[in-house]
Amino acid sequence: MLFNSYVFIAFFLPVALAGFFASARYGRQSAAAWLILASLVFYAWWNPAFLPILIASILINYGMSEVVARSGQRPALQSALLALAVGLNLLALFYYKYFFEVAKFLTEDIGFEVHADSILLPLGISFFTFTQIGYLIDVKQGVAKERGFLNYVLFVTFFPHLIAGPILHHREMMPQFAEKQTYRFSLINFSVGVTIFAMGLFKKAVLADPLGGDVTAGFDAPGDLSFYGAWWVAVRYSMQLYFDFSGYSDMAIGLACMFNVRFPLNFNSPFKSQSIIEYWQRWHMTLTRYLNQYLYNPMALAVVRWRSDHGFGTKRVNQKTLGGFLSMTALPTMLTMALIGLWHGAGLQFLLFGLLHGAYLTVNHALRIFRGTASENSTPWVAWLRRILNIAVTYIAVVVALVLFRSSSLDNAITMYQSMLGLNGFVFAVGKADIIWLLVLAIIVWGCPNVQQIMGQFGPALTKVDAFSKRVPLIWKANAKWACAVGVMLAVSLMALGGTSEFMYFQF
Amino acid sequence: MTEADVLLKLEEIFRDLFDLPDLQLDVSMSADDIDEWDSVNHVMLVVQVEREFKIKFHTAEVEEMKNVGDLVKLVVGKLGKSTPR
Repeated sequence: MLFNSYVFIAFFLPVALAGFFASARYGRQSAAAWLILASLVFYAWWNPAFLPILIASILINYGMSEVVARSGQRPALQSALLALAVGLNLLALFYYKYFFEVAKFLTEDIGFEVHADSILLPLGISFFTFTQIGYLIDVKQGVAKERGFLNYVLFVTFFPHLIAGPILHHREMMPQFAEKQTYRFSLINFSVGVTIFAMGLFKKAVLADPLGGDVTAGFDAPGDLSFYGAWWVAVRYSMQLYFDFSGYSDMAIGLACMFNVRFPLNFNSPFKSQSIIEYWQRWHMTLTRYLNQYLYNPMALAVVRWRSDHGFGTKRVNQKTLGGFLSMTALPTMLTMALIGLWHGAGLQFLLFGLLHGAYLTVNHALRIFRGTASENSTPWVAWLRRILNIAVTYIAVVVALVLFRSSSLDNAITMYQSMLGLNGFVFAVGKADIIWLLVLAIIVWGCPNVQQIMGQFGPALTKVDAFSKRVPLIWKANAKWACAVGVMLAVSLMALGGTSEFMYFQF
Repeated sequence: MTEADVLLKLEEIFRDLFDLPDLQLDVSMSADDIDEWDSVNHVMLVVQVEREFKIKFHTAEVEEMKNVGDLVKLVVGKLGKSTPR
């Protein structure tokens, strides 16, 4: 079921909410059970065949986590069990997500025949696999305090995050499900939730979806695009993905709010970033956090500990040497980003997408380490200009990398780049209305406060964001004016839903 | 070791590691307050603290240490466990 479908908005959500607070009268356990049941229905709606996979994943992981937790007296056995559990998860993920592509690659390009039928990707498998691997590791390290079965199942299945994130951490979720307050209806949480949901739906249905047509046509035949046409399609795609994912993330946070649950922030105006480092701290924030925690940090820690044990320096001055920079910064960054790329799908274009961002980040770190930060004592005008320039360069770098992300194959991506370099002509054929529309979107992206800033006083997410300029008086209040505005947004969005379209992150 | 002792020692580590000889460390500070304290340098900081206090952190704890107050508490907790007095 999609958040942006009539059946979800008109039927599923009201029933799930009413049932949750009604069953809470009979105790927290029944409310939790209701919510789990509702979430499973939500999941099965798409394709019931996937439901057993989700359930098996949860049962096996929970069972393994309990075995791991109880073998603390025998560290070697415990490590082996953890490795087995994580291995099983990765194997399942590999089978559903990569096996077919790898088999195809081996058969067609290498000549080594592997038989494989196309496999349907179970919805959200990368998300629920990642969440559970994190839990297993934390159980092994003894930092997962709350280990109740019902809370665990609720934490994994809770429908607002099940299919496309945010990637939650049990430490921020399980205590919320153990809290009494969560099970009491709160009018203010409900209003805040509905408002954020409406804003997200508006972004998805009104801002993102209409951009899709041209983008699909452009990426299907990138050789037909002129220089302007190619850049036009690439920029439109960046806007489509931005509003799609940002809209989805808002809707998830809004839905959680209605159930008195707070999610971590996933999206914080990433296109306002002044560097690629900052960009990854603001785009798909929970994925960055997850990979930092379970991939980048362990790798970087291993390198730094090794250097320290073998008499190499591990200080800031040592970072300025080539060996120090390559081993302590460049290597873990490139590896992490390569895996981020592959996480999005099998295919050379995804690997290259990750490596390109890895290269951006490495250059970004190198500039910071070797050149230092820009002097603080420049005039306000120069500082302002520098900021604009940084934002523009970052945005263009992101658009260029997204071409790989969107292309159906590496060949298509290369053709698109050729068009963007002007190798297929310079005909300008963009309508006036399209240009005005894109300008409107640009004002929303770069000139407006984001949803978290508008709703900030209610702390709708676990992560705090900096306040937007006070000169823009756009702060939500529970009054008639805002109610009308949200009502109009909701009405327009519902009318625009017509041909319901998937969220772009569902394919991951 | 008390929290104050740990803080004092951490201040030395921070000054040395980040090359900031005049830094005054206090428990309310976090990675946002010190420009040099980014995710790359954070890992160097963690290892430096490990070596200095002869303790070891779990991967899961590393992300929690991005403010001075939590870092101090974590170190004191670890020291308490390893050398019961």
